[in-house]
Amino acid sequence: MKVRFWGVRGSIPTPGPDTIKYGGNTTCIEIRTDDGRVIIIGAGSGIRNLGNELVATELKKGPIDLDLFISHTHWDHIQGFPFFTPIFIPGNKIRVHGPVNIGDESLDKIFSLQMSHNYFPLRADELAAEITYEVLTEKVFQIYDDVKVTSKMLNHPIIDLGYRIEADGAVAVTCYDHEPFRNLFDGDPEDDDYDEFAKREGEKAADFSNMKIMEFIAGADLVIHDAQYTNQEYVSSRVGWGHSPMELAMTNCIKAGVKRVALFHHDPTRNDADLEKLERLAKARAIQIKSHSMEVFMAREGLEVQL
Amino acid sequence: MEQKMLVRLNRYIDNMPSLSITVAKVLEVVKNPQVTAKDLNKVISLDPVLMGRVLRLVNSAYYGLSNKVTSLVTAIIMLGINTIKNLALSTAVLANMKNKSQFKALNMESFWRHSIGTGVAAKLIAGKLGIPQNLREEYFIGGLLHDIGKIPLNDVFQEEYLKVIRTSDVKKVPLIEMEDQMLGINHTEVGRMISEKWRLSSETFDCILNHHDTHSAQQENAKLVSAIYMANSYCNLNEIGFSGDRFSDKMDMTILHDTGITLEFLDNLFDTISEEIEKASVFLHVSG
Repeated sequence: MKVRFWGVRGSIPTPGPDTIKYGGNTTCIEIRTDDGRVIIIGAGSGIRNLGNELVATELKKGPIDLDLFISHTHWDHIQGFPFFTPIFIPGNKIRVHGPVNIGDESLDKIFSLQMSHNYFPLRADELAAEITYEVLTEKVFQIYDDVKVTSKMLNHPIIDLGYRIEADGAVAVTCYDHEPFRNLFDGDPEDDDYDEFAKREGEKAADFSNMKIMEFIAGADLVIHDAQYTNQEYVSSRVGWGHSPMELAMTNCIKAGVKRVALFHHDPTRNDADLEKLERLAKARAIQIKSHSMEVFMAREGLEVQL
Repeated sequence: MEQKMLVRLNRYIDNMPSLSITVAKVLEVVKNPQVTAKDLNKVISLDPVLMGRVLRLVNSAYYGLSNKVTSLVTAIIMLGINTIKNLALSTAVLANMKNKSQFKALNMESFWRHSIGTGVAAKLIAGKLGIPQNLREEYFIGGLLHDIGKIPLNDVFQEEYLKVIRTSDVKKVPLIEMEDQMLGINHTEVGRMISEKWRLSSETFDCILNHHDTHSAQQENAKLVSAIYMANSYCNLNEIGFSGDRFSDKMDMTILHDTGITLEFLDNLFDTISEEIEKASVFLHVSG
């Protein structure tokens, strides 16, 4: 199984001379099984380049047929879809899978909205490819006979799924956008609204939810983990924003026996020099934590990892 | 009940709005940018529809949980403040959009008092039954939601339901019997439809379906459903709110006997229940 990064940035694309090395496209990951099937996770702006490559290299073999998994419908994870060329070509089959939010919307409506008249010159119902939409919640299922997919609820300000893809004897997991669960009912006995019962219940729920995430990433060959902030940035003012401090991402992956972790969803304020520095720090930190052999790196556009 | 009527009920349930009585407070709470989990917990626990929708969302988004989530605190942690906020907002907005006709067979404020009263009573009974603290919220939820099947009947079949309530009053017959006779369906069955759509836990399902027929409850929920029965009966007999049952049957003494709860104990609950309802009432009136 091969994993290729087409977009590693979070929030908004950040083109420019300062982001050439790691890339400015928002999230898109391509997974290719040994027998050539394509699974895409994320339709950020990076999917545009992926689409063009697929058209150039795959179309001559026959219609493009693939599965596209969306973690959540925040714009940085769907904004590239109207520019994904395969959707315009008749005969192509694209199966979109992803969560909706309060449970009553439809995924295709959410996608069509960004292609409605006010925002885009073509409407979703004018697309020539055969596009189907499946609403996902947590589920374990097969696509094709031999690719196992597990979708997992993550912690973010919207319903958001991570994906564990098992194929060709290897396991790749996406764990973004995600922030560690915490006890929202914590408090001081001195507070007016202190509720000891709620505090204990909240602690249990947070611990349980974090434990499930550890199970979800356990033993993976590659985890692509939200690492938008440093611990200092996170603790000082970004708790509750739905993203992880990179130090904790690494620690959790080490604890879970993960073989490689790609630090992902780079903050738009970070340029190449910033990311290089953080990558050095991350690698140094990994070396310090002995008794493990986990490889850590900053995800960058164009990087290919063979699992 | 005719197929056509069932379709209308189902459609209503799919878009059930929160109770009008809680809308103003819900909107106030969610519009606060500094809203906390505690704020949301407080306001959601006072609205059976919101409570049900939160539980539905958490139990349908998550899979493979060995037990369904039955605690609002847990649901808020697992779904996060923002998702809960948006769910509350959309449910409250639906309430504002729905038919603003004031005409209702069942007065919503009285219905709400009865639901909260039953929830509070059930939780107090749970304490007396020796149920550990962390499991008592299920009793509150069972009480809060037990009559939820009346909301669609009240809103979709306004005139017919008014007739049902009036006839039950005049003939001095329990409401549930009149519902069956005149509508071909009763509120526990409509409650079942809601429980299934909302994927409520089997415990809450049992409370909604069997609070008039405790013998049909599952063995493991016997105490819970009996507590809801007693709480509901007590509130009806003491006119804590009004849920259409002016002449409910006298309390079944065998149930009291089986659970060890005495009439005296129940009578001592009256003040606490009234206080809790008043506190909640004050809270729901928008400040300023």
